[in-house]
Amino acid sequence: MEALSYRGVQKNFGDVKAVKPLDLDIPQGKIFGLLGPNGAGKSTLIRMTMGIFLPDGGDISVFGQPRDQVASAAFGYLPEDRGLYTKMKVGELLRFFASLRGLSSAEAGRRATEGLRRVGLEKWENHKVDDLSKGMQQKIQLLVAIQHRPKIAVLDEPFTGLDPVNVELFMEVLDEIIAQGTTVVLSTHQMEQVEKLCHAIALINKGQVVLKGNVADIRRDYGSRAVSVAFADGAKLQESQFADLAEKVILMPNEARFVVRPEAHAGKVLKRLLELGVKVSRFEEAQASMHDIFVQVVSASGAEGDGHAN
Amino acid sequence: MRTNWGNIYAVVRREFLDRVRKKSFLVSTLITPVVFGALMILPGLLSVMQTGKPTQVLVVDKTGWAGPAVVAAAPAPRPAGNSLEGKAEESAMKAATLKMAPAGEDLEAIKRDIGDGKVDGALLLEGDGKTELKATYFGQNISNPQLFQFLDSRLNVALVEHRLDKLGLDRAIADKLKGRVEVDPVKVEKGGKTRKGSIMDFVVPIALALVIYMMILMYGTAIMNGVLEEKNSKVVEVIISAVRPFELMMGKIVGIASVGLLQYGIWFVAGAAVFMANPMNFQSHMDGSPVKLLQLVLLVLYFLLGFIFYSSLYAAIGAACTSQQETQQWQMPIAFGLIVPFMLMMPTLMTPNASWVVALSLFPVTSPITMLLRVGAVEVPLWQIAASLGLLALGTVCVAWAAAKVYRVGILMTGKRPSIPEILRWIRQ
Repeated sequence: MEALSYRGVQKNFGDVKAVKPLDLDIPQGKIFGLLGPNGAGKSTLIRMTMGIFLPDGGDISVFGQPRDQVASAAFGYLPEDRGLYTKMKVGELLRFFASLRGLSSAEAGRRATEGLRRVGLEKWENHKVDDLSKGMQQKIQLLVAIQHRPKIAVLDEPFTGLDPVNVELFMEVLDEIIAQGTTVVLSTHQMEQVEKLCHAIALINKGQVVLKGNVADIRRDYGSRAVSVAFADGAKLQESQFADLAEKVILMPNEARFVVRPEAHAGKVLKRLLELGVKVSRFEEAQASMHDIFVQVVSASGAEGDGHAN
Repeated sequence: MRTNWGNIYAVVRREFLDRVRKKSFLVSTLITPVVFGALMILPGLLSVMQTGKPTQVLVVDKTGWAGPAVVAAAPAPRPAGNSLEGKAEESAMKAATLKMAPAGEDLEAIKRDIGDGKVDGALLLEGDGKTELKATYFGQNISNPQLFQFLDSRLNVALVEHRLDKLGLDRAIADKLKGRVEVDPVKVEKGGKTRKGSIMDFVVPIALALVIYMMILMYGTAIMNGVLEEKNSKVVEVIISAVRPFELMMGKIVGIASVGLLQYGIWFVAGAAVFMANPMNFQSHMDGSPVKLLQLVLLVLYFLLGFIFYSSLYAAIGAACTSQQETQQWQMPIAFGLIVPFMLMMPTLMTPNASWVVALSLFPVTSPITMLLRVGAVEVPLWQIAASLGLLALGTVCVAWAAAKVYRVGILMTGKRPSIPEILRWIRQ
């Protein structure tokens, strides 16, 4: 069963069509990546998923049930704009949010202690949130999103501002909650993490899904068109020499990467290099990085530029 | 989705504990009665007490009889010398000392001395030598009402004595003609029941109106700032993902209202304790309790409805604005609804059944304060109380509904300040 299922979901703000009628299925029990440039409509989609906005049309269902019939205990949320009650004590804050998600006060207390221990902040339970560093506050924010063991946790840019050690910690915690059966929807701009963490993705641009599927499939599909070349004497090469063969050319003194046009062929690139008198030492079809795919798909569908924040 | 009372309770609890545990709550609970007591009692006390040394007045007599008579005049004291008014008069009678100017002293020279500060003031007495008297006071300070009360009473006593002398009346008989009478106020209640009036009849309605006024203004603003803080600290997005905006708004209002009720409860109990412990001071002024049960019930009802009415508006302002400065231009018109009936307190108490006062006591914006003032002053017909409460309840529902709409949209808005047409569109949505 799909954890989340969107059918014709749309949202307008005045004349701005933030999300155009959109269909999307998010499978259960994995990390699903929600990608897209700024202003693409990701946050609006997330806010509709969290019940903050009501869609203007279409249906969102959660494990087959209409969204508005699902109790808020099923959801956890780490918004991009982070915020906590800074004057509250850490433990109280966690218990407050747990009670909003339907936990009894005894259970809320247990979960708070347990969660703080998991992220190494057990000594801070009786400190004010204000006393915590930014990274520590982000850990608290993560606990707020997952401590009640939601069925669906939506994490918007959870890694920004974290040091590498804490990025590792966050990833471990994500693994643990997935093992417990939580479905994670991850919105991020960091494509290496998408490659590492996400099983499937949807790329949203201008309020529409422009690419969706398994990460491995997508990379393979795009990979056949990516070529990596190593050579000894490429200093005189120019991008324009490959304009008819490649959509994108990255030239470095001793290597180059090409994204071959769909109608062209990787062999033609090799032929052109040889014609230009380059001594090729290595030539291989590379698996495309999510970064390249992102850039390619978004520029092909046209970026919205600086869209509005909603 | 139905309203989730568990969520409202969680928000109420957080708001309540968060505020009650703050040091500022303790401090304001302790300090406010002291400051208020001082503000209410000090001016009265100061007018009663001798605040400076008496003004030295030189009497310049051009009549040949009035000077010594005024200096020697002894006004009759008030019959009930223990009341506040009596005390004030007593102290006025000590406001100045009179001394005859040395014979032959020139008025112009005295004026120069007054201007230089060597002499406080001079009283010039002129007349036709028979029964008329004209008095003029020269002084740097002519804004001391006690001084003029002093001079008036001395002059009038001297003039009456002089006239009695002219009529050839024996001084002994004339003395018997002195002495005053005063009106004794008796309050008549429903069914012709009477009780002795007291200063409390005046203080109680004002105190009730003041309680509502202070409470709404203080805690309404607290709600607005709380909303603004949640919005600016971005915490609101996580909360709204778990709680409906209406639940959050109502939880906030009820939570903060509970803080207010607790604080007033503490003051009420403390006040009652002082009253019980020291009955001498108060009960001498009273004959039965001046606070009726109806007044207390109405106080609670008007407080609850009025508080939700106003704090919904404050919550909506907090949601629609992005900074404290922005809220100020919106706060003013709302505060007017409270300030206007408060400023009209005196005319309201003097003519509690005038048609404009009745109108204000029915109109939801002003009714909490005006009706409490009226109820304290006279027997208000029951239908008017019922109509006023009904209109206020209706107004409260409408305002809370509209405010919830503004709150729902505004709370997630950042950046640009919404215009009034935009806010109206939020309400219609």
